[in-house]
Amino acid sequence: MEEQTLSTIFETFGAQTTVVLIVALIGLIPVVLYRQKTPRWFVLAYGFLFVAAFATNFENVLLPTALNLTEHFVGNLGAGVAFAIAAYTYRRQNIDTEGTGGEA
Amino acid sequence: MVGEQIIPFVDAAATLGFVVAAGIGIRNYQDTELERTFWASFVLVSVTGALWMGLVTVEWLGISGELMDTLSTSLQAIVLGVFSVGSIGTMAVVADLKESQAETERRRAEAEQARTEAERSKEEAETAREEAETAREEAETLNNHIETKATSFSAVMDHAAEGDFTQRMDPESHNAAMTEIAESFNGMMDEIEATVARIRSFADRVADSSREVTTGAEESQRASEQVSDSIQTISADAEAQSDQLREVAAEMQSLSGTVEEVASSADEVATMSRQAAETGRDGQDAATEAMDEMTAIETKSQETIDEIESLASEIDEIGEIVDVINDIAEQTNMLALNASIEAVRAGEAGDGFGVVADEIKQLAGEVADATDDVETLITEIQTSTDTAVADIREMGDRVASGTETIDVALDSLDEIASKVEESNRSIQEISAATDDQATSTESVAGMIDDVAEKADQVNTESENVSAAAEEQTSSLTQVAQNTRTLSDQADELQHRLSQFDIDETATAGAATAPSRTATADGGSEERTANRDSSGGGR
Repeated sequence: MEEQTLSTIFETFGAQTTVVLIVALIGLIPVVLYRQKTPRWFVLAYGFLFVAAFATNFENVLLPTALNLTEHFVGNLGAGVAFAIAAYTYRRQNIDTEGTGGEA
Repeated sequence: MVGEQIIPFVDAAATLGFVVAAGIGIRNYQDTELERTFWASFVLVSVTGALWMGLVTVEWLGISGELMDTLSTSLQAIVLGVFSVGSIGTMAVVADLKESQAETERRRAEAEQARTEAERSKEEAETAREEAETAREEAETLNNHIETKATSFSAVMDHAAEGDFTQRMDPESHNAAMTEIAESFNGMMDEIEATVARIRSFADRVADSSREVTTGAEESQRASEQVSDSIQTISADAEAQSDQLREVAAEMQSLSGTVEEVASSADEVATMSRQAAETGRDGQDAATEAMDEMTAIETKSQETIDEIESLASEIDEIGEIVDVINDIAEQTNMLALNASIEAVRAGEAGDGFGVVADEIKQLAGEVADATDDVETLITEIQTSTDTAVADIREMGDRVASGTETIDVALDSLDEIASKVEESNRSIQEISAATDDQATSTESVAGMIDDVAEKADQVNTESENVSAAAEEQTSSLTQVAQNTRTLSDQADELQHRLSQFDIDETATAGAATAPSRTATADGGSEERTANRDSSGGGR
C-alpha cells in the first residue's frame, strides 16, 4: 500500500524533483530560525530557490504553463539576482564600512 | 509561446547572477577574516547555482537528456541544502561572533575610557592637593583671625542673649564673611531692638487696652446679668399673663356660651312675642267681630222687641176680639136664655126651639169657655210677651252694656296689641342685639384665644431670650475672664520685655525712621517709614 503510494507520488512528481522539494522544505527550517540574524537579501534568495523547487514539482500536476514560467522567471532569475545583490549589499554595508572605520 | 522562448535568456541571466555572486563572494572572502567560512560556503553555493542554471539553460536551448535532468536536479538540491544549512547557519554563527566581538570591543572601550578618566581625576586631585595646601596655609592664617573675631562676636552675642540689645559687632575684618556676619548681626540687632521697642510700646497699649476691655467686660457682664434678671422677671410675668389670659379665654368661652343661650332664649321670646302679637291681632279681629256681632244682636234684639211689641199689640187686638166674642157669647147666652124662655112660652112648638136654644146656650157656654181659655192664653201670652219683652229689653240693655264693654275691651285689646307689637319690635331688636352680642362675644373669645396664644408665644420667646441672656452672661463672664487673663498676660509681657535693654533714644527715632531688615538671600533692606508707622499704629 505504501509502495503503491510512493510509486504514485514518484510517477506524478518525479523522484528527483520530489527530493528537491523535500530538501527545500527541510532547508526552510534554519532559514526561518535564523531569519533575524540573516540579512534580508539572503532570506529572499532562499525564498526564490524555494519557489523554483515548488514550481518544478507541481508544474506537472496543475497550471503547468504558469508554474513553469514562475519557476524560471521568479524562482531561477530571482535567485540569481538575489544572490548577487545579497553579496554586494553585504559588502557595502559591512565590509566596506569596516574599512572606513566602522561596521554598518 | 513567447514566455517559453525567453526562458533560456532568463536562465542565462540567472546564471550570470550566480557568477557575479560568486565573484563578490570571493572578494568578500579575501577581505574578511571572521566570515570566511560563510563566504566560502556562499561561493560554493553560487558556483553550484551557476552550474545548475547553466545546465537548465542548455536544456532549454535544446541540449537535454536524462543525465542533464539528473545533474540539474541534483545541483538544485545541493544549492538548496548547502545554502540553507551551510550559508544561513554559518551567517547566524558569524552574526553571534560579531555580536560577541562588538560587546568585547565595547567593554574594552569603556575600560579605556575609565582609565583615561581615572588618570584625569588623579591629575585633578594632585592639583587640588596643591591648591588645598596653599589654601590650608591661608586658611590657617584666616582661621586665627576668624577665631579672634569669633571670640569677640561670641561675647557680643552672649551679652545680646542676656537681653542687652545695645550690643554690636565690630565689622572691621580681613575676612569678608566675618564683616558680613558682623554687619548682618548688627542689622539684626537693630531690627530686634526696634522690634522690641515696638513690642514694648504695643504691649503697653495692649495692657492698657486689656484693662479697659476687662473693665468694660465686667460692666457688660453686670449689665448682662441685670438684663438676664429682668428678662427672667419678664418671662415670669409673661407666663402669669399667659395663665390669666387662658383663664379669661375660658371665661369668655363660658360667657360666649351663656350669651348664645341668652340669644337662643331671646329668639324664643321673640318668637313667642311675635306669636303674642299675632294672637293680639287675632283677638283684636275677634273683638271687632264680636263687636259687630253684638251690634247685630242689639239690632236684632231691637227688631225682636219691635216684633214682640207688635205681637203684643196684635194680642191686644186679639183680646179685644175675644172680648167681643165674650160679648157675643154673653149675648148669645142671653139669647139662648131668652130663647128658652120663649120656648117655654111656646110650649111644645117651642121644644125644638128650646133644644136649639139649649145647644146654642151650650155652644155659647163653650164659646165662653173657649174665650176664657183664650183670654187666659192671651193673658199668659201677654205675660210671657211682657216678660220676653222685658227680658229682651234687659238683654238689649245687657247687649248694649256688653257692646260698651266689648268696645272698651276692644280699645284695651287695641292698646294691648299695640303694646305687644311694640314689645315684639323691642324683643326682636333685643334678639338681634343679643345675636350680635353673641357673635361679638364669640369674636372676642376668639381674639382672647389669639391673645392667649400670642401670650404663650411671648412667654416661650421670653424663656428663649432669658436662656440666651444667660448664655450671653456666661459668655461675657468668660470674656471678662479671658480679658483678665489677657491683661495678666500683657502685664507679664511688659515685665518680660522690661528685662531687655534697649537704647530708648535710638528706638524712638527708629519708630519713625527706616529700619534694616534681613532678606532671604542673607542681605538686608530698608523698610519705609510709612510701613513702619502703620505697623506700629495697629
